[in-house]
Amino acid sequence: MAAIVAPRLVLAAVPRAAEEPPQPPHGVTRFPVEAVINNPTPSFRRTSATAWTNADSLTRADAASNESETETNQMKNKTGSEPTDRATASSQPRNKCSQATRHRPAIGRVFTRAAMSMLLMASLSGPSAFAGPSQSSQEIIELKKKVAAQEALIQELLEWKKQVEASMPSAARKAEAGLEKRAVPPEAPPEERAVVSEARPHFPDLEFHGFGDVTYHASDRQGDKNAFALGQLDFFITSRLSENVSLLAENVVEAGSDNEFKIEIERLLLQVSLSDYLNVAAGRYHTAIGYYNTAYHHGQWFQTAVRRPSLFAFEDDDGILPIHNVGVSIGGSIPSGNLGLHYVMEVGNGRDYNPGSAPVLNISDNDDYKAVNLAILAQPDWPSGLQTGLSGYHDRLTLNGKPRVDQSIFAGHAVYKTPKFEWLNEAALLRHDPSGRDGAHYTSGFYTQIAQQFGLFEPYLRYQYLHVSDNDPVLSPLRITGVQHGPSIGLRYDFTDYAALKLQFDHTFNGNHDSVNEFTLQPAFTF
Amino acid sequence: MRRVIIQSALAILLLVGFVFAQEPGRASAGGSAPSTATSGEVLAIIVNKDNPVDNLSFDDLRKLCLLRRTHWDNGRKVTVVLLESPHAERELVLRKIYGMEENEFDRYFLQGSFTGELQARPKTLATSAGVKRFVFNVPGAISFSRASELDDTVKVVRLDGREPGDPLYALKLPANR
Repeated sequence: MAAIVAPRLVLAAVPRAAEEPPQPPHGVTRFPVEAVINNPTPSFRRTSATAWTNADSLTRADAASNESETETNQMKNKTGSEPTDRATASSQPRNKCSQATRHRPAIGRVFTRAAMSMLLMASLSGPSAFAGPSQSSQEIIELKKKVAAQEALIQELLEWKKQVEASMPSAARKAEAGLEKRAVPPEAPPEERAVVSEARPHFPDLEFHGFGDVTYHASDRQGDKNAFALGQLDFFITSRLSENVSLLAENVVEAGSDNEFKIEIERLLLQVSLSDYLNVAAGRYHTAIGYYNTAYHHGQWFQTAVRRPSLFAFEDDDGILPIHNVGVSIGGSIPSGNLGLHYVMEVGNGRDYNPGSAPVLNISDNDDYKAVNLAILAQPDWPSGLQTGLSGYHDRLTLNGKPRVDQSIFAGHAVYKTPKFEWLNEAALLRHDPSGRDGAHYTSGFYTQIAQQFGLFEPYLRYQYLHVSDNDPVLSPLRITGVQHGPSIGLRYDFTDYAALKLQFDHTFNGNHDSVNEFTLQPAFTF
Repeated sequence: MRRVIIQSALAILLLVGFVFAQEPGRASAGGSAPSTATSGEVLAIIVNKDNPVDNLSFDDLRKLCLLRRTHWDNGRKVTVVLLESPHAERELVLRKIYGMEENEFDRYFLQGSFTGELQARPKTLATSAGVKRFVFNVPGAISFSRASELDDTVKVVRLDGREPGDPLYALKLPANR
């Protein structure tokens, strides 16, 4: 933008016109000193500081110089001083013709000679005699040209700016205009800037939480001993990798029935949130069958009761469902207004039901068929806290030495949950259909749980039912058969915000008309 | 048998009634009903100036605050920022919009991240000036500010079509706060 300079600034760059030399006395023609000094003519004579004499004119008037000097000396002898007009006296041309005028009156001769010398010098010196005024004019002309050129350039730039603005999208123009007018908050103190900067997302944004519990239980089950037991130590990690990408990891350390500790990656998910309608996750996750399996994982502190419903027991706790899966899960909301519909679609390895095998297929599958699951959930705006859902799961199970079994699992739930109250209701139906054989086997189960918080205390009641089909080709080899049902009653006491003590009594009826009473005390905590 | 059925039906009816009695309702959890504290200062909803939203229903506001809705219509990620406790603004938002107490608020977002349903939680800042500065700088931010502290650096959003100065505006601080 340096080119767009006010003309006056341009003019300021132009060197000033040469200083006007002092005006010569009347009758004397001026020309630069340099021309005189550098003139090689030996007859040059400079008679005063301000008197300039043309060398050529002096040559021509050389003959008359003696007469002039004679007159000057005569005047000097008479007055005793030099003539005042020394320039006049010295500049008179020494012209032979002036001899003809010797006899004229003196004043007339002076004027005549002066006029003739002026005319002669003007004609012989040419433009150099008027170099001062001519040069200034030329400079002014040049300056005017420069100003005109600068003005033309400015006009051209303004036209270009208009064209650029016209080609910009309207939104960009508005934004630009808005930015120009946007108010900017005043400078914040350093500590506030630091806090605001800290609040802005920084990636990766790692958060670590832990969950744990200790249990004491006693029961009248045959062969069972009352004992203290370390529960699962759950290391839960989340990390935002970017605005839309996050990581979730749940690692559990627990002791088995042999009292040996083992560590297991219960969940490991890379989640990409593309929009409210599409979220993609890959890794190991809890299968979206029903409500309890996705709402509660391995942190006992979150659960109201001491343990999970039998229907949703973990695989290594004689559970019947594929609680964990390794694969891809896609979910999001469905535009449905106040209904608040959501969907979940999953594809994974499924579960290995072979006795002695690891139930969760973490790195390999025992067949090419992938388990698929689809769930539709509704979380209406009113009443807030209500959630209902249906899910359908299908897998083709490969059992060692046995025909393949088509496994289908249908589940439904209706849950009402607020910060101080919960009423959970779920039911599931498993269908195992061996290929090439008649008859499918059905396993059903349900539970209902209600809890109300009174200050720090939260009493709760659960009733659950599970009926595993006899001779089920999948579950019978795992020794999971028969009927179990019964109530559980308990009390949760949140003695701090992040630690709770649970007391629960279970009365469980078995299919063979036996019943078991069990008492459990469990402090559970998060950190 | 008849007695069992009648008693079961009565129990279910009592339970259902008990359940709906627990529903905080739009009045106590916010909503568009007039606030009882009519002489208090108004709490305005503020967003970044580049955010195209001009009006939010109470249900939409609640979904945004609960992070059940994670993106604005322009695709920007929703970032909720609140004043830290024990500011009156935060207490009003927790009571009216979230319908939760402080520990319930923490538990909700902890459980949300635990289930994987929520990938972020509301930010917390100490001063209202810091909140406005955050909203100014973050395109998808939404927060709350006293109407008396509003300036041109943020944009005010209507709630259920009502401006903060409307007598029926829902978010009003108690008179003594």
